[in-house]
Amino acid sequence: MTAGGRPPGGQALLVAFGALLALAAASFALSYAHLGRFVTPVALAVAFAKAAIVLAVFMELSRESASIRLAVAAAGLLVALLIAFVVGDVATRDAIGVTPPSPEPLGARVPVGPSRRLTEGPAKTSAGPGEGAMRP
Amino acid sequence: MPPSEREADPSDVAATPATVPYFESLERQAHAAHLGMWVFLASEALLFAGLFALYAAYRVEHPAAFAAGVEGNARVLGSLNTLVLLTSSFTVALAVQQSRSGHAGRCAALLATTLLAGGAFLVIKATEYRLHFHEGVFPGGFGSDVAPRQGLVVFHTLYFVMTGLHAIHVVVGMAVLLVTAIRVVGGRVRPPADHPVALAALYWHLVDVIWIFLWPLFYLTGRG
Repeated sequence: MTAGGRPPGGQALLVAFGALLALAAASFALSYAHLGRFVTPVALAVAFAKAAIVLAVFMELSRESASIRLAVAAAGLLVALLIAFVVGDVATRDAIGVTPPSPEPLGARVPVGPSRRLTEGPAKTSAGPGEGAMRP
Repeated sequence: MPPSEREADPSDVAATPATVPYFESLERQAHAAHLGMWVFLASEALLFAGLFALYAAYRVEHPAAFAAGVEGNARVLGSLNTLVLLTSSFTVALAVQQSRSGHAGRCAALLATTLLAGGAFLVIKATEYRLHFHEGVFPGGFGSDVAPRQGLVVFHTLYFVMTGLHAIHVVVGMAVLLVTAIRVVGGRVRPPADHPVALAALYWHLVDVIWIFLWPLFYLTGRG
């Protein structure tokens, strides 16, 4: 049922492990370089390369059947959509002027509902003009 | 023996105790098991994706606090754990290879090595948590004498939740590997019905892949 190809031999596993160690060392060294706003994209790019090696060689995804690769691709797409929509929302709120109100700190809330009416007198005083018209 | 030959020989399938009757062949059974495991791993990825999305959203909201939080984390210990997990992925991949070759002893030894690496990871992670607690850093900002910045509280809460959930997966993965190793030693997992070793390895590799992304986000991407 696999897509074909021989399972990775010891040498292929060793090469993949060496590549993973090299990428991890590069990522560690780059964390001390002053990359400015590129620090996160560069670190994530290295992480994606490492994940691809683990998936393709160690997890043998490259020789799995089409149905398995489809399941993995669908999961990858859904993960990407989830993160992209959440980040897209937060990152563009200021640009399109729909910033939601910040939550008020605890203790600063103005009492609403029945407790407010008790302190401000009868609720009838704030009744709209239409309320009296409905009474007989 | 190539898969096609195995399928053509019904006596081989009948002689394999791991074959379930409603599968035509051992190869089909292994494929169903692999597909089921991959779909399960996909659901695990979606579980972590929600947390990664939270991390991304809050990092956009509080970039300076998150960079400060990363700088405050133990980079060397986190990187040591990366080395440990990458090595464990390698050893468990070798275990699968040895299992296919019929070397049960070597396979079990490599699974035991992977278990040791998992234990080392947890010890290093516990050391890290202890350092944080000693510094007064707790999830949700609790236990701190001074009021920390809101962004830092969110960062540390996400740090403890995401690395804690990952550590739980490490523990589960170790339990799966232990059971698999016992079955290999007992002769209950052997070629050609050796896919339980590959399935346990798949779960362990997922634990590694998740850490591959946690490591830069919590240890490497500081102020730049």
